[in-house]
Amino acid sequence: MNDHIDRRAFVKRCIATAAGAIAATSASKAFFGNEPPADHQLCTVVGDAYFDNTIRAVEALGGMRAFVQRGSTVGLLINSPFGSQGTYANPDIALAVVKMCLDAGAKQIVALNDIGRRYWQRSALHRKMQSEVGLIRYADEMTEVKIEKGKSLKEADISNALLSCDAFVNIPIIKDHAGTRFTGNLKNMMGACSSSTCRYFHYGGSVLNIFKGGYQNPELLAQCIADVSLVRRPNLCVVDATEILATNGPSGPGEIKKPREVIASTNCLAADMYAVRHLGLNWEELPVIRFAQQHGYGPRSLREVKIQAF
Amino acid sequence: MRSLKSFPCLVLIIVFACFLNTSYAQDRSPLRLLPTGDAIGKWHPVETARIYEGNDLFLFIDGGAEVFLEYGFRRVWAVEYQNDQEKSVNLEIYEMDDAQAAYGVYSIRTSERATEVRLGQGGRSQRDYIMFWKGKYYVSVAGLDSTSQCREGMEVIARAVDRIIIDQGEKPLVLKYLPREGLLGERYIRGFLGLSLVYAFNVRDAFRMKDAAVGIYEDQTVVFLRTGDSLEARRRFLAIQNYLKSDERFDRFHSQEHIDMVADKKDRTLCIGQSGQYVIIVISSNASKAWMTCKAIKDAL
Repeated sequence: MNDHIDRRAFVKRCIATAAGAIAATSASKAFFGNEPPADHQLCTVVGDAYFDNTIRAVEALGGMRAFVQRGSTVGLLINSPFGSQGTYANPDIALAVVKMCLDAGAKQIVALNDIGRRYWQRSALHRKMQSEVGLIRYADEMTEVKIEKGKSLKEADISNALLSCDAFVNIPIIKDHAGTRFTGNLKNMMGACSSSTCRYFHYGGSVLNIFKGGYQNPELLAQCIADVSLVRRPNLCVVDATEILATNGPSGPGEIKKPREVIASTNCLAADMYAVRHLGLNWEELPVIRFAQQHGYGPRSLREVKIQAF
Repeated sequence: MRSLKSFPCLVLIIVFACFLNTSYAQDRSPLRLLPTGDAIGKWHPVETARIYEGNDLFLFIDGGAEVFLEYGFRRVWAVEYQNDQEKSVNLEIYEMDDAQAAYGVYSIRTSERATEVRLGQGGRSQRDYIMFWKGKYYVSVAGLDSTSQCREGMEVIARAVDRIIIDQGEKPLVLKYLPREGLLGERYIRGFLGLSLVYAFNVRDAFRMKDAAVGIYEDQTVVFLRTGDSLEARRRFLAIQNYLKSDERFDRFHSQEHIDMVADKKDRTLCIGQSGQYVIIVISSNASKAWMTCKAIKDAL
């Protein structure tokens, strides 16, 4: 082998290397924002000022500019469908995220699921932030997506906007759920799926199961949730663990616990593993977390997570 | 002449058919159960009642529907009420297949931490909700915030619904097997999902049942799982035994006098026994007490 290279070849190699580095960085920026933050980071803020605490939690991870580039489109998946207390992500938290995205220079904010008009009215800040809320676009078109690595879910109808947005922020509430024992970041992804896909999660592919009206297997739901999370990972998770439904989830009413905690994380699985403590659960016992770990979605233990607590 | 003799019968049949049709229409009519007007003072419905039947319950409460369907669900009426201050209260009236199903749903959705209230055939309340059961109906009233106005609205609406529903029913018979001494609360379940709310067994098939009674005591939980007959109970017992041996969440499996014992990761002991058509499960942090309870129940059956 001839180790000697001439000047022209050397320059060509340098240019190719530089071009590759620039391309990789650009792709990384497109997905992660200006600076790809370290994975498995989590920040929690406890207190009654949920709007301010949300900002503080995200700032501790580098600020929204670490996730949202100027001129980008941001997709928000907000857990909002139910009306009982403790069943929906506190709109103060969602409004804080909206504000931070706009301050970071987002060109457009898209809600990835159907948020009723009255959702924002539950916040005392909604009048003050009417103009910001008015900028949110709502998208409901779906696309069928193949999930090659899915074990139970091989295809799903997913929100177009989820697939196309530059940055994706997941805003769930941690609460009880009769099927999976808790719902949080991972399960919130069902909000970006069509109703027929969601039915599959509960009933499986058999028509008979629909008429039976029962779960074929509780693990099917957990596996499908882990599978659908492969479609796209959120750039940022902002979790409502402030006033949460501890029984009779997902729709309540039931007992309310008040940890008063806002959690921001770069990894949804880490956030769920951390947050389920508020429901008296041990993440190691939860199938949906185990299945997500099997997909290599996040940490294998909380020791792998850098946690800042305020 | 023959036609004249059969005429009264024909009239009776027509009248009876009209009565049935009217009764059915009343059963389906939301107006029959939903309070309005003076009965609820300054509160008024702000929407037409939403009605969901059968599997459509999924559209209303998403994954929470499965538990209701497991018990035997017919339909729910849901209405939001407001007062003149625009405070909101949600009313949901669930019509179940029978009174036992209504009691069952009520029993797993309330808690001994909630305050007993004199509504229906049994009711409980916490700060943000009131629940009760009456006949084949399970009723839930929830305030959308924690203000005193919402609380007042919940009470007014719940009492009004209680007056409207005249249906009555019996609690499930299987509950009588629960030892009365020290009993703090009871649950009635009809399937695996209900059982999962008591203890998270991750495998469904081993725990197939007709129904079950659950007793909550200070330091233990007792489950009477009813099967079709003693042969089926034996099959369930062996299936549960195999499951407990194979699930890595359990260890220290051993048997004593035909009662199996395992420990879970929270250091609770589960004792499993079988007698007649019942499988008995006792869960306790006190291993010897769990075993003695299981044995005593097994011997008594």
